[in-house]
Amino acid sequence: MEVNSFLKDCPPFDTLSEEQRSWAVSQLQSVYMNEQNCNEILRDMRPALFIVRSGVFDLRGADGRLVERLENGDLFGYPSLLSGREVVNKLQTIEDGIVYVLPQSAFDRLRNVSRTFEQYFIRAHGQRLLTEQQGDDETGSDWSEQTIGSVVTMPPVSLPSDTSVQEAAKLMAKHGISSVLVVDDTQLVGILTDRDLRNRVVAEGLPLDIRVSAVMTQLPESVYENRSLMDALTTMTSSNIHHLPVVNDQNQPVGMVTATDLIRQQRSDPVFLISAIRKASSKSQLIEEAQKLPDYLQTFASRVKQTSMLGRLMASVTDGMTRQLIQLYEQEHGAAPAAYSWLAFGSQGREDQTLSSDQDNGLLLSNGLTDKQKDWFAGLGDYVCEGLNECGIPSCPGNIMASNPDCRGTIDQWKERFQGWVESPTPKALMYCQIFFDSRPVVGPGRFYQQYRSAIADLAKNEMFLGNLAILVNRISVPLGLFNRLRTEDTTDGDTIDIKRYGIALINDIARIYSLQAGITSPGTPARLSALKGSRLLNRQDNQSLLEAWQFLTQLRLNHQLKVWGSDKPKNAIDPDELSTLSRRQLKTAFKIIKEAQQGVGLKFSRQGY
Amino acid sequence: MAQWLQRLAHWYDRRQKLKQPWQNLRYVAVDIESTGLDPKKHQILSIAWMTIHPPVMHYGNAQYHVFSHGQELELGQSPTIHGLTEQDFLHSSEPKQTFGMLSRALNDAVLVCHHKGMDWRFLKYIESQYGTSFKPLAIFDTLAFEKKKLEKDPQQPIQGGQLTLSACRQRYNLPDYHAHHALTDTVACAELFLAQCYQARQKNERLLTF
Repeated sequence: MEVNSFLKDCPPFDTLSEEQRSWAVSQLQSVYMNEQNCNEILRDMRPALFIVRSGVFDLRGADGRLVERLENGDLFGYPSLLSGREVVNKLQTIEDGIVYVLPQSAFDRLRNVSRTFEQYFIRAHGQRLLTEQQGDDETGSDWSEQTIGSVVTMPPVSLPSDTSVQEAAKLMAKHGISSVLVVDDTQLVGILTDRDLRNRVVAEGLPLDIRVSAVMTQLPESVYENRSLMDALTTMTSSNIHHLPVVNDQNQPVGMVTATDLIRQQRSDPVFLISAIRKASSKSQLIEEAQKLPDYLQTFASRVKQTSMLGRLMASVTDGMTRQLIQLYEQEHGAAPAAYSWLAFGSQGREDQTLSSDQDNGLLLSNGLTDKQKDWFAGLGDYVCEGLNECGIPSCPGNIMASNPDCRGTIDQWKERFQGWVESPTPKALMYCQIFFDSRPVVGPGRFYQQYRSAIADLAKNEMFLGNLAILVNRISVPLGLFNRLRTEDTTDGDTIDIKRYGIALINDIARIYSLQAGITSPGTPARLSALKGSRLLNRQDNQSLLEAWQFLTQLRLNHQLKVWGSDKPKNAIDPDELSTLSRRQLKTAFKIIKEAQQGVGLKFSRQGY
Repeated sequence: MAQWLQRLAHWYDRRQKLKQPWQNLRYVAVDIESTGLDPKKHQILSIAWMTIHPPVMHYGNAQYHVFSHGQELELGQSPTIHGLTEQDFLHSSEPKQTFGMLSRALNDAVLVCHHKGMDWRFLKYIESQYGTSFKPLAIFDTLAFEKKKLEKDPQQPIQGGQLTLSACRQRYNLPDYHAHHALTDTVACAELFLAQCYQARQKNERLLTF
């Protein structure tokens, strides 16, 4: 029957079993609601759950303020069902229509038989709607979210640092392993691999009784066992290593995860892609591999639930291409004449890159370079940026690229640039800040980059500058109309909403302002929000809401991009009419959260207030 | 003589009841799906009805019955048009009992249907076949109502297809339903009826016809 198929597409009724849903229909009443009878109906039939089938109604608070505009598929009346409190809201009919009414007794019975049904309303009541997933495909667990601990099965093989290399080699041979952890007093101090024995012992002709501590890699990169496989993957690719020690919360080693372990997870296509990129021995080969990226992402996306992972994956892949291009350049032009760092800015820096993101990068150079050395770096910038472009990462229209001399500088030169932006915040300067403050080193010594980054962080703690950023954030108005209705833009592709400009970018901007104020240097929005927990300026609940809104929007954008990939449809514009009822409700909630956060930033940082 | 008086009393009773405000009456929306238009030649495949107390439609006790007619069933049209499959006929209802229920439901209620000519003709035929009587207070024909409304504008002659249930519903911004399932059409007709009445009441139009 009609109403049954309607409910099938109307969360949370979609989660009920066929039988439960039919029962719900049998308990349902339906009313024709108009201006004359709507408040009478509300008075006579509550407490009940009301489901709008057609028409448009405004729910107004006791003070007449609009709470929500209700349309096809919207639910109301449940707060009083859950809390038992008297409802004071009033209805106003904008357009007559049909409204279904589920009485309290039936609502309670459904709550009892279905936990997901109950959970939905408790979440919706607490504005926790955004973490709700479309409840159809729960098939298979998401490998990238699997914890590292769950794939590390072998107990760690370890030895103290005063062991001789021969003893170490015997131990490795006995266990048939290619690397061993070096542990002193339960703490991980190093890692020794086959390669170290070959390159640092045998090739150098060192005696076999030399201590492991002399040839091991000290303080290696490691991951916590409770992190995800994706974390392991990104750490491996960013440090260009195959063996990754796994430690527990007390930093005690619990095992080792290798690239082979990840590949053994069978479904880890991205590992193949990343290792293929690393193996590319010529530019043309690299470009060929890079062209497979959209296909990889397409199949990968269908298997992961948390698609914000894909932003990190894209960034990892771009990092990999960058490193490979740098290596290819070095093969032709000799090794770098001085220490330097290749910087990723913007979305690559934040690791929320998409298939349509363009390049944002630069170079951090040592002091006192000769002209010839500078030419080497200029050549590197040209070569890598051109190469990335050929690999499908488009050049930056704003020329924020290492090929631009302005984007190559020493720490002092960069500081000077930032200082200029912070002190005279022209619109262009502020726009630069929204890109350049989100940075990450792709290549180069960590300490060199940290020195640069903390110098920049100090510059940002400038009240007037933060105030100006807050004003800028408030200039963009969230696409919610007067009545909390989604406001679309009339484009050639229909009525759409740009969820990057009006959603994701705004949350990035908001998280950046709080982070700059707190001196947090991590570039990604989820990492920033996580670091901001406990901040006095941003309370825990608003923080969580922002994260959920960000995750929802990035997911929505990715799904959209995968759908329109290869067509000339806009990559960030969503048509709300094409969304499911749940997604549409979530989109509204996300924009409501952003709107409030915008105002919060305005009040806290800009004297003018908004 | 006594019978005549009884009729008069019944008529008077009906008249009094119909004088009430329209929202105080009980309505029963009915839809019949059949193999054709002629009750003598064609058979009822399914029937549905639902009680309305304006503005409330009672989904819970809506009735839907399918008849198998033993071996005699002749599908004049493809049965899929009515959304019926063989499976449905396995759960078919007993006609006399079903029509008895409908008869009781229609007592003291106004019958609502889209195109009275067709549904009423079948009900009349049932009366003669099964000895059940259908005595609604009145009949509200959503199609006739719509036709009259459209005829008020002589500039705009009524086009074919303008009076179908779904075309009428569209003019009242009611949602699109898949037509030709007796229960769905009953609900569709009930909603159209309420939309017509509530919107007409604002203009003080006369609603009921006898």
